[in-house]
Amino acid sequence: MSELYPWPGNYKIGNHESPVAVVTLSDDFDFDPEKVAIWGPMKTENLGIEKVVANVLSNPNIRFIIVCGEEIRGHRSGQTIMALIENGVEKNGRIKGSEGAVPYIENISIEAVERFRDQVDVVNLLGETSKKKISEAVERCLNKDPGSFGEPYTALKIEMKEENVLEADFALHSSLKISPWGEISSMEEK
Amino acid sequence: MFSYTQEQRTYDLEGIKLGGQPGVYPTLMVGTIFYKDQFEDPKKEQEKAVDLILEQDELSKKTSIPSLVDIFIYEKEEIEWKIDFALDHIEGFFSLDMPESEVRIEVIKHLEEIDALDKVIYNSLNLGITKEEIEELKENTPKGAILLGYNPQKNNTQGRADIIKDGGALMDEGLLPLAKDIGVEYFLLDTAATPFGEKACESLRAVPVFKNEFGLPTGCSLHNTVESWKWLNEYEGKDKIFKTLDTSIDNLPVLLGADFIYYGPIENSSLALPNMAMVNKLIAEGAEDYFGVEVSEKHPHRSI
Repeated sequence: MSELYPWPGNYKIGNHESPVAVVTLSDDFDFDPEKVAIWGPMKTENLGIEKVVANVLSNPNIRFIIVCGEEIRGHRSGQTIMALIENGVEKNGRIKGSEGAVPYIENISIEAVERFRDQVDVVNLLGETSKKKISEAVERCLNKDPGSFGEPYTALKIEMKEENVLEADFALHSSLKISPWGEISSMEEK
Repeated sequence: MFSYTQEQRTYDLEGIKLGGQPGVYPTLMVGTIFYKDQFEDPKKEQEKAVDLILEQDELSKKTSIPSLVDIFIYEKEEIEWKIDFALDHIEGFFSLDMPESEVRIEVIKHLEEIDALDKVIYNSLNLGITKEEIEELKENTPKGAILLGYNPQKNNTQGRADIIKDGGALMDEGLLPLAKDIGVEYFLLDTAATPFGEKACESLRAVPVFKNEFGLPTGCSLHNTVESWKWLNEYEGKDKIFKTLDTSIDNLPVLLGADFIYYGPIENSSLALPNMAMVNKLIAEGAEDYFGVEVSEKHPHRSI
């Protein structure tokens, strides 16, 4: 079995068979671990969303994302994750329809994003901080669980290949030359 | 510790010298006010905000470390009273931190109406800039701007430099040519702090790369990296050590030549400015001895 929730983040884990994940945005609510698979805050409209996407994909039992709590001012992370599920991304990774500051998906593949969009439905409780109302939404999701989406999907992080610096003849960065006296200048073209 | 062969441009922000070779001018420290968690009701607590600004000013006088105030504006409704507050209580330049493009557009219009564009460091020109915002900026141009080298697609040093230089694969043009085209006069390059695990060190590495490549005042706000550190946020002793870690991380970019630091909430000025005075004294002594630089008159190397 592939690893559940492989991307580290500030989240709590409950019953992995539950179809519900809850994004609490700027708030820090707790939930009945028997009823919710994974929950936690989500601060940023780029890296934060990528973590949610990757971790939800690792558990195909998750079919609903409840977005609740106070919106992250400036980032608009809650509006942005709903825009992602609704509209997807442009070719350059920009989340269509986002009102966030820098809403880009860059570290996971388009394929993974599309699978995420197919796997989950969003429940819009943006701005809602009533624990009772959020818990009622959890119950509604549990009652209409469509069942597993299939095999777990591992969203690999797209890593850039860097030069092997152990073999390099520069310090700090390949564009810089530093003299023994600490004088920084541009590395000559080779 | 270091010197640059590339000529380094300096600015004069109404008496605050910014940029240049390490050791010549003291580091500009920028403290932010009106973050969400700083006040329960910021509009009603303006006296407290004034006290915090005065405390930073006082520390600048005592340490010879220059400072500016960065005002955080989240929503359109806050624009008028926060900018009035700035004009009432801040002499000279101030920075306006506005994450959302829509808010930035309204701020520009308001600054034009009250004839205050010449007082402002616009924080920031970044990847999220819209066509409407660019058009508005061309009509009404703030004197200075932070150019944020955040590149989510390629977040190593080169990717961050690309955003400044030519936009990389994400923008039609780089932020620097864009800022020149808009008519901004003071360019402050920000290497864009990222969390641990997201190439946090590249925001440090980019400091000498930006200064070498662009020859412009460069800085960053690494307190964001500390504040997003999951382990620290869960550590039981966080309260005792947080401010120390939040402050000390700013020493690293300055050692490499950073000219300005956004150090986070302004209430940390009592730690942040004396700390920076200490680091500046070390750097200035080294620069004077090794590179023969002439340390400026208003510098902790001379005054304390």
